[in-house]
Amino acid sequence: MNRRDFLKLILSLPLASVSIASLKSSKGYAMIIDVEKCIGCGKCVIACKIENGVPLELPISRTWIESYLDGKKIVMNTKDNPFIKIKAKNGFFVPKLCNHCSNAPCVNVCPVSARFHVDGIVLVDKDVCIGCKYCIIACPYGATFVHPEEKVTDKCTFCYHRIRRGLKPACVLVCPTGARKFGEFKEGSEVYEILKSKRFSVLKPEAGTNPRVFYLNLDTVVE
Amino acid sequence: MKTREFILISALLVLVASGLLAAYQMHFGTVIPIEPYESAVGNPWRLLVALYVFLVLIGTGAIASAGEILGIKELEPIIKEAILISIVTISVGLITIAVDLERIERAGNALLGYANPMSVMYWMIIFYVLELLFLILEGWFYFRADLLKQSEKRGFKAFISKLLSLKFLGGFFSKQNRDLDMSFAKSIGFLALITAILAYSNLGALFSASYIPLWNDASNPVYFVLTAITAGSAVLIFSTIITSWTTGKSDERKMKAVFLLGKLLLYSLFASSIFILWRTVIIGYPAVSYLASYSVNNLIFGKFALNFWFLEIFVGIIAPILAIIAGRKNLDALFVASFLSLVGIFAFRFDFVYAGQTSKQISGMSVTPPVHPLEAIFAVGAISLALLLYYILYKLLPMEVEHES
Repeated sequence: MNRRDFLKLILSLPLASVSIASLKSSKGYAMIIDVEKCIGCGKCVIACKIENGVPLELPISRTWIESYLDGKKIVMNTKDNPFIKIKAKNGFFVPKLCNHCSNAPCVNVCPVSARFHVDGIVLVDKDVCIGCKYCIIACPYGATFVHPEEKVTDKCTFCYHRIRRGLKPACVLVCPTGARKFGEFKEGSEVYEILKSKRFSVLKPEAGTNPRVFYLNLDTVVE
Repeated sequence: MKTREFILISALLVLVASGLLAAYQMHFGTVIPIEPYESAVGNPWRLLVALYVFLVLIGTGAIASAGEILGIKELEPIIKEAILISIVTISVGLITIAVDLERIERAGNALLGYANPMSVMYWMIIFYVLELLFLILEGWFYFRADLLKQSEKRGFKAFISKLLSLKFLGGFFSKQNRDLDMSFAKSIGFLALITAILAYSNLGALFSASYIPLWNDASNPVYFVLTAITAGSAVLIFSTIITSWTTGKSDERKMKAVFLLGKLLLYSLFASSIFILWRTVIIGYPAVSYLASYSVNNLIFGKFALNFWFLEIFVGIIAPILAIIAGRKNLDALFVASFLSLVGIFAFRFDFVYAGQTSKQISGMSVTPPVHPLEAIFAVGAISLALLLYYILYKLLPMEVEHES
């Protein structure tokens, strides 16, 4: 690490880091993504699309991977398979998904209450959504899209249909390097212990959304 | 029906039918498989949203109500036109935004059963629906005496007048009481004005409530009210002059109202130019974030620069101001000024909706073509529908001004 990188790191940390003390009141599920472990293989994207019926051939996804190479961001999608073909020598991968914000803009702006919280997860009532796309506009993470077949907005639900039955979300299950960890955010749980012992950050903390997706080893502010 | 009228109505009907087909194709089409709303790869809000904003922010009804409440006698001759234009533009605007919904059949969810009082959009819908209802009621009281008078004649217009005046119900509905009607119209006009201001400012707040730097501005609500006045006065000038030319009837009192509206247009254009300068500088140049300066630079130096400098600033503001000042008391100049300012306002709505979203696009999303042909066909159809509806209403209703009170 040269002096320039070190200064960038120091300057970015106060912006991105969040202390666990501030999260103690937030019950429910949470996900941890270790950026250092992600190899950009894209298995999580494929598994998510298959599990949740998102067309594989279209560049829309509930979870996606961004690669940051030499300061340039590339959003990878299923058309770019195999994902690994992008040389990652001087870069890193950032898997992204809905951040299940405690203070979710999409929940606040939805005119028909089609978005709501259950166990800390932001869910979409597809029978009520009118497809006004205000949630897409409001989401600072770009995590929502219009499902081309269902004609309603769609996004990650942490595979709520699976976790209700005690299963892991599809992306967590297939990750070959264990870059994604998922569980209830309560004292003693794996997620809680990791967050207690390691430095972590969230995306766009300035938005004040209180995300429930936490990143480990994300030493720079990503878009 | 004259040949000229026949051609006009036929052309409008063809355009409306094309718009309907385009809307059908967008939602259920199989011939042209398109995904104009595939939001993750483009702009979630597109031409139809820009058109909606343009249509519902034509504040002719608000100008009429304000004129009534403030007792501005000069505006009285064009109050009927103003109310009708507002009813038509808000109705077509609501149809446009309903077509933009992915699930058009669920549009009612926004009003009944699933309301989210936390949502700015919910309140915007409520205020626009209320404004429309108040305008219809205000218009009914305003037209009632003349409708009753017209219903005494023979023919289709008399039949329509009988129906609209509810004369067949008897009692209160069959008796003329112009003074009472006017006081009712004035009271309801006050409510219409309040809901109009709430609706316009809510629409501004709807854009503000986002993380998009070009939109996230506390001045949006005020600016939207201001531009609604600009658009309203421009449309009223344009429609009054064109009606007088096509019908060959020139009412001196209506022309007086047009000159007063010309002044209102001039002042609101001045205020708009200050607002644009203020907003652009405040959003883009304190450089609060990279995204903020990116989106402003994209608007004024990037791919929206031609729209911004030529259509919004030159055609929409400078040229109309010069036309009004140079052509003092000249109807032709006012006509040109009103048309140019409407072009500028439409360009502003378009740029506002599209350029705002560029900051979403730089986070890795590709840019789709800004306007899909089907959206353009629908937009032309929607504007034609507004013209057709106004034409029909103008023809059927008693538009002549017969009272001074």
